[in-house]
Amino acid sequence: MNASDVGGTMGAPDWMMEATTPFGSVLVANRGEIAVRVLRAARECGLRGIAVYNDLDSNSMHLNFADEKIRLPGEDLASTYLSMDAILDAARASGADAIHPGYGFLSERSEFADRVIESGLVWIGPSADAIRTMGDKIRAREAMVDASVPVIPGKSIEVSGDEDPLPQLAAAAAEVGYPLLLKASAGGGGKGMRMVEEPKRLRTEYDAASREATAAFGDGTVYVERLLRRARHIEIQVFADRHGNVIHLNERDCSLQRRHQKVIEEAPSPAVNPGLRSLMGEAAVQAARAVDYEGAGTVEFLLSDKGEFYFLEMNTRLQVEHPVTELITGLDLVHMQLSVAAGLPLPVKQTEVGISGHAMEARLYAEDPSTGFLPSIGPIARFDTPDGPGIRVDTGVRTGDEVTTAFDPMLAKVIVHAPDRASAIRRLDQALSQIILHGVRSNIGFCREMLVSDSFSGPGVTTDHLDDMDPPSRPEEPIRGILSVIASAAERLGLHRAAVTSVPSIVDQHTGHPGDPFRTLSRNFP
Amino acid sequence: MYWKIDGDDKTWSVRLRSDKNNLFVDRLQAEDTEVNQDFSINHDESRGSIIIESLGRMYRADVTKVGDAWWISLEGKTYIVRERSQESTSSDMGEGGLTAPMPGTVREVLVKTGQRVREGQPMMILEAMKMEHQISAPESGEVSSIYFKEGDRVDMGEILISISTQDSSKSPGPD
Repeated sequence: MNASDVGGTMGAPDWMMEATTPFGSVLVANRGEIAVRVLRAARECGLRGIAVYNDLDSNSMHLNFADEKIRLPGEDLASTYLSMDAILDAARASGADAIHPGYGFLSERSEFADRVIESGLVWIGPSADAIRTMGDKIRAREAMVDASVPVIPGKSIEVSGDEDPLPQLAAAAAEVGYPLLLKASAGGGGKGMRMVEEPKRLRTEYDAASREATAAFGDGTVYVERLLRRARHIEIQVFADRHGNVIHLNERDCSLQRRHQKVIEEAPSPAVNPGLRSLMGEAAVQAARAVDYEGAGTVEFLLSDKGEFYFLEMNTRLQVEHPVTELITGLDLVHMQLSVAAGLPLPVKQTEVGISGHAMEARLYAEDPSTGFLPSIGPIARFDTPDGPGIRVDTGVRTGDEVTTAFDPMLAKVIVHAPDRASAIRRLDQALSQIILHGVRSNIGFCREMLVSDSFSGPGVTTDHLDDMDPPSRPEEPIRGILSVIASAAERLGLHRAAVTSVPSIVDQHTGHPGDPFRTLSRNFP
Repeated sequence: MYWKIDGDDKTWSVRLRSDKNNLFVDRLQAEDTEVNQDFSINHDESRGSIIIESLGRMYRADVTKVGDAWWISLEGKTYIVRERSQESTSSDMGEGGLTAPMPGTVREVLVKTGQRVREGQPMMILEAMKMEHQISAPESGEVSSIYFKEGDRVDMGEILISISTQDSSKSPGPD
């Protein structure tokens, strides 16, 4: 019998005594670094932590942080981490009181939230209705318009082949503002979509669009939408309890993305001043209120270079980048999730939420920049993580693990906290330089190049930034000589006795697809 | 020893000399060009790192051998340095011994002792991590010894087969 089983409702810890829905154990329906993160928090909170794992994960790191582990039979995601039945069975088998979904997998499936609650368990997340509304772009946009949250200006107009649509279009365009995008609702794949810089180009571009998508434009709906160029991706962390309190925990800036994948995140944003922060924060709180939100959520906005911001979407779960908010606010978001799910009020008021210093996170992916960021697989022969003042590492892997294509390629997150942005950049760069990761290729070098690039150290990063970056450069000649000497010395000194089984090379000479790990899984070497 | 660095086409060759407990670089070549550069090599046993002094600077490298490659972390960057197997098997292992490029299991032995083989002819198939690796003859000759049979486990770097070449006097092979 667990110490926390004594005396409380369902074995809930003492701090939950006043709660309306106390619980004593939590099943974490996830894997990797987020499962480690949540299971650690559960322990700190005096809760029994229950991990789940599939047959590829039977030695994975998150199991070390659990009081109990339940196997999800199978190797594929669909029948394990993505299976509501399998997770609910595991919850029953382990006697779990609550389910934390982490991020990804089932975290934004409204049906899962419903089923967890129907099973008599505590769901650590917002209501199924909130997930449903925010998961549907059109419904979310409507809900935001109703709640007076700014959305990207847009207007749809009906055109018919019989009359000149120009007057109607010009009126809509004037209302939406330039530059804008002209989209045929029946178009798609970029067909029938034109950018219009200024009013006098409206007819030319409309005609061009019509030619591109004749059928689509002849009759039907044309959508006019403001084009936001050089926009920044700013998101606001919100938190809501069951007692009507909704607060925001400032913004995070996720403008450093590569093909829509976030690479570096920071808080606060260099582009947000206190006035803008409270406006965006208020809008995010309105967005959460509009769907009766509960728990942790993130409202994403696009911020134009003119300082206008527009609702993009709301993520109804904990975010990968939540640590940067934790570091600048001093709050533990997972603890707060657990506490809110138990029915307790938020531990802080809006006026008590401050910003201390600057936090920055780099996501460590097992992917190879030199092959166009293809996933990299192999053994993690060595993984030494950095440490030092202001450095936090959230990882789901350690030395001896294997990186396969079965799971997401994100291995770990390195997060730093420093007094200001410039020192946070230096600290993160240094922390990344301390990492020793051997056996799988990673984006560490790429992250470091990003961090020290002029466009990042200045305030001007936009979401287009990373796609413009040059491929990694090859090592300098003197370094190459030194590398060969090191390899020879290592061989001579017998340092390979600690060698690890591995894929000798992922360059596939048969198919001509260098580095494609999917092709190297079962091939014959030449 | 012969090396190739990922992202670089050149083959580097290194000859080391040891004197008591110290290692020195006898010769360093990039392809056919000799590189005149002084090196001092030290080993930090507590961390398993190698410390090189060269060009008036100190370089500390953390190294791990993975398969046939050395992964080297140097000044915050990671490099992969691979052994050039043909050259290294003939010059370092001597007598045309063929070594296992990775730990694994012998799946199939395709030749017999005394058999003549042509350059490139498959001689053995190793299996590791569900992948097959073919060991082929680096040059034409006669198979002098086969050290493993089907089903045997081999460690990386172990000599699998040796070949004697017709005009080679240094490797007569067993009679």
